[in-house]
Amino acid sequence: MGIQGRVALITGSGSGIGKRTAELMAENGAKIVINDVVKDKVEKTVDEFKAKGFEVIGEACDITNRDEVTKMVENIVKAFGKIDILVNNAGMERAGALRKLTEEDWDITINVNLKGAFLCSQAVHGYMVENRFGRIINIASRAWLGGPGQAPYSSAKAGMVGLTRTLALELGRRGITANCIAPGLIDTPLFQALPEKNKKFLISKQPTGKLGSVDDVGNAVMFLADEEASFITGQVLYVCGGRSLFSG
Amino acid sequence: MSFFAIDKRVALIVGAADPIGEAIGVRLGKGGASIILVDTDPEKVDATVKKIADAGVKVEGKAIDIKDAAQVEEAVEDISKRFGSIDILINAEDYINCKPISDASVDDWVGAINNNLLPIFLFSRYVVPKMQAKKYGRIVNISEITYLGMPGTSNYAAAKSGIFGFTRSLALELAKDGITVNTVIKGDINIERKELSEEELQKATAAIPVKRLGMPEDIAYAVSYFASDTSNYTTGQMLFVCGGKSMYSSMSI
Repeated sequence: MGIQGRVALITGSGSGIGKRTAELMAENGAKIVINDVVKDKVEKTVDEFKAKGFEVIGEACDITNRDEVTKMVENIVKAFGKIDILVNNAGMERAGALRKLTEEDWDITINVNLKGAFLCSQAVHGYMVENRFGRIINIASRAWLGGPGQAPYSSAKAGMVGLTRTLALELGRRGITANCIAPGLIDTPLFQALPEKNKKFLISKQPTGKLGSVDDVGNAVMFLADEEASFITGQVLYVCGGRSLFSG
Repeated sequence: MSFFAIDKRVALIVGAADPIGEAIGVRLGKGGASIILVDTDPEKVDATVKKIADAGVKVEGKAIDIKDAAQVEEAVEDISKRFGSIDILINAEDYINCKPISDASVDDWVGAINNNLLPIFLFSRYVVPKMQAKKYGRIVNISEITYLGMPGTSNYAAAKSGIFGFTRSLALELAKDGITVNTVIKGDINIERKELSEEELQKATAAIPVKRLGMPEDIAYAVSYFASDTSNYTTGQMLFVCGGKSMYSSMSI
């Protein structure tokens, strides 16, 4: 039981939620793959994790590019022999009022969040089917419920929910589960970069009056990645301090 | 499972004298929590306590009328005094009396609502102030997938739907007190299907996307996440543990 000996690919794991999730998984005995589009971040994270004695490899690649994804997955299977867990965590947001958003804002947000998750799921699922075991965990966002200024991001994350449910229905009989985690306001470098006034305002809107931590999200990933979570599939688990219940 | 931190917590499991309550008791007990099991039928309480104890878990049972406010209050006071706190409350009562509307009496309706919902209200009512005093608490309710709507179950489905509103309201009310409130919704669990024929079992299994029925341990696994420190920032949520069957219904996310 647990995730001992499992091979886990965590996309966008050069920093923030993805990096901490990868670390938690490694601490619990998984072999991990660090992926990021920025090569520097991958190398730095891999070095850091190797120093901790983790079984880890790095794969810098652009997950919106099918050829690069295929190559990455082949490399992982070469190194570790299989892929058991895929965490589609890589994401980004271009926010703005509808009248200000560009076509490029839309395309890049949809591509990184949604197309990337699709391409990675497609590339790994055959290996999971072979072993009759797989865990696909998509990091969506509470924002899929909609938010002013979030047209591209909300749409991309809503797309991930549909993707998750479809994967769950399509792969359920193969021992593969697919679930979503919908984080709320999490204390990440991205959040810390906001102006002080905005940070205060956002925190005041939380039912708990607090931010979530990257550990909260990482632990939810571990919960769903576990062998024992085999009867949980097609679900959206919010890690948002209750913000999904009422955001007015 | 080291990351599900429940060591030294005190867990009160209500309405749990059945295989699901047993699995929850074993799981939380093995994680290091003290287990107190409360239900109405003394014989069933004893039998479940014995099974949990046989698994090597420290557990005690208490048979009271879980729909009687005075008895619930007294039990909560007693447990809280003796154990020092009640950190985890699991509301697992499940009273199944599904009736087609044309066959249902007022008693059937009242029976479904009271048996399923009253214990959840009463135990939360008396346990929450104890949790608030400690600024820590985990309330986990167990619901059932039928609440999404199935023919011939309107009285039962209405009762189980009540848990939805209760969970969300209480979660918001207690969010700043360090108390989370979540619900695990069980799908088709093998144990309740024993009365079905082989053919009916196969049909039930085929209707589940993962092509197997659930086991009590599947429910206990999910409960242990919500009952632990690990789920700090997760509150007001309804998690289906149903092999994906919930996806066939709207209102499932």
